[in-house]
Amino acid sequence: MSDEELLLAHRDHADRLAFTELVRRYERELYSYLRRYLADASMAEDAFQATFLQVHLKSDQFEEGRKFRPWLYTIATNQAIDAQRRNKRHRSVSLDRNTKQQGSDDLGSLMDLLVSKEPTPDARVDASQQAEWIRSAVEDLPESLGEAVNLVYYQGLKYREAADILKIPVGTVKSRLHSAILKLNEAWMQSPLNSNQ
Amino acid sequence: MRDHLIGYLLDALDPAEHEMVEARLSRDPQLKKELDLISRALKPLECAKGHFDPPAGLAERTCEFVVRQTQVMIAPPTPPRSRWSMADFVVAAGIFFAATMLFFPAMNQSRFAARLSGCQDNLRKIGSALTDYSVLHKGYFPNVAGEGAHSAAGIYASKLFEQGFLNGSNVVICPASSLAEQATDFRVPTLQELKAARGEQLARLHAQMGGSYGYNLGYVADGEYQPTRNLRRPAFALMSDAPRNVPPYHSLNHEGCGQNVLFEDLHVQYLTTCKAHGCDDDIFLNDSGQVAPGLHLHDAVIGASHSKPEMRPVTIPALPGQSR
Repeated sequence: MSDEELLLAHRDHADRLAFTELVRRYERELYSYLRRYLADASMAEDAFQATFLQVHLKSDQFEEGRKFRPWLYTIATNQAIDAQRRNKRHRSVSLDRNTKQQGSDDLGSLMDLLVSKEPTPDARVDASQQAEWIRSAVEDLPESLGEAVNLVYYQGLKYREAADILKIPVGTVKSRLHSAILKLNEAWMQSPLNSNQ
Repeated sequence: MRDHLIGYLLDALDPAEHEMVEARLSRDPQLKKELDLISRALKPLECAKGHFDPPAGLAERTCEFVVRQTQVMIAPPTPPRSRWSMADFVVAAGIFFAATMLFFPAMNQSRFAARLSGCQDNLRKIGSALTDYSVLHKGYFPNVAGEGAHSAAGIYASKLFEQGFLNGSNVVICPASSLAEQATDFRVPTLQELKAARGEQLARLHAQMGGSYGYNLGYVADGEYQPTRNLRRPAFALMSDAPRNVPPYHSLNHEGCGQNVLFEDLHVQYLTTCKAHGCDDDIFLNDSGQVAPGLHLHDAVIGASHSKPEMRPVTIPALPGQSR
């Protein structure tokens, strides 16, 4: 059964098994999204539960013909924002601090730098250390840019779906993702983990 | 096109866009090279792509949580009410009268607060769009040209809409402003429309295009007009409710009581005076008291939509004991 069919079965026939199946289906994916968004395991779990409570309560507002996944992400994003507000745990450190002052939007040259040399064996970085660095760099992005990276890059949503979830124009999602990649590359170039610098 | 290439690599494009990019890639080797570069730039992100493991039993706990919460939410049935006596009516009328006396001023206040908050939300959205714009334009915000069709503060709106940073003209209308009543007819003109307009028509577009908000007029350095650069300054006013056209230059949007101001670090503050907290800078006048570009990098001046950054002779006040 598709996600949409499961939700309608739960809504129209109070099918508890259908709801359970829906929660199981998104357990890993949605928890990962919230964990990335909130950078805190316990807040992510609370937001996950709150999201599915809202799915249950708002299921009569779900329009037939609509896709369930973007609708679920809209609810989850709102829950994550609420959780952040409640916990007042907004990060104040931003990658902006590290950006070079001179206007450098030359993605090409940054990429050239990034890929120009092969790392020497002794400079090769442990993959898990690198993954941790990238996660923390994405968390340190300005919130609007981080949201775009999480939804489009890590969750694999379409530009249009991300735009609907964030309630912004598609062009803004594109430019935010572009800016985020620029910033991450700049930060990566300055990182001690980057053996190319 | 670069945004499309990123979307193409991430499979984030609509089918039609995807096809368009594929067609261009097949006949443009330079674009193919750029795609390879972007693909390599995305590589460092890949190592963090794996999912986080959810805590054990999360799905089961979630289902139980939903059932529990739903049961809590079901209100107990209300007992059937008996008929009202005369005394009940008298008491109810008294309560209604007292509530009315309290409610109407409170309702006005809450309406004022709701509009103030709606206006602040708009400024935050525009601020976010301005920041995105500056990231892609070497750190500069949309500049107001010294002369010509683009020489009015309201040009910020046309530039943000034209490049897709903003959507829906209503975002540049403060819900408390007089313009809010004509919101359905309002539309930000395109750069093309501005270029084609002449005389009175151009003046009308200049006066309207910035909506209810004013925008920073830039500053003068070494005798040359400079656009504003994003330095994320917490006390530098970037936009605000539009000022009046005549002194005193405060805004009339919020019943003349004050104005919302968007600062460069993207915080929005309601100010009851024309001066930013913590500094003496009047946000509607430059350091020589004119509605004209600032006299130095940190001299912020917000002009209404039609305001032009005309270069005026600068009068530098003489120091005590110094003849002019």
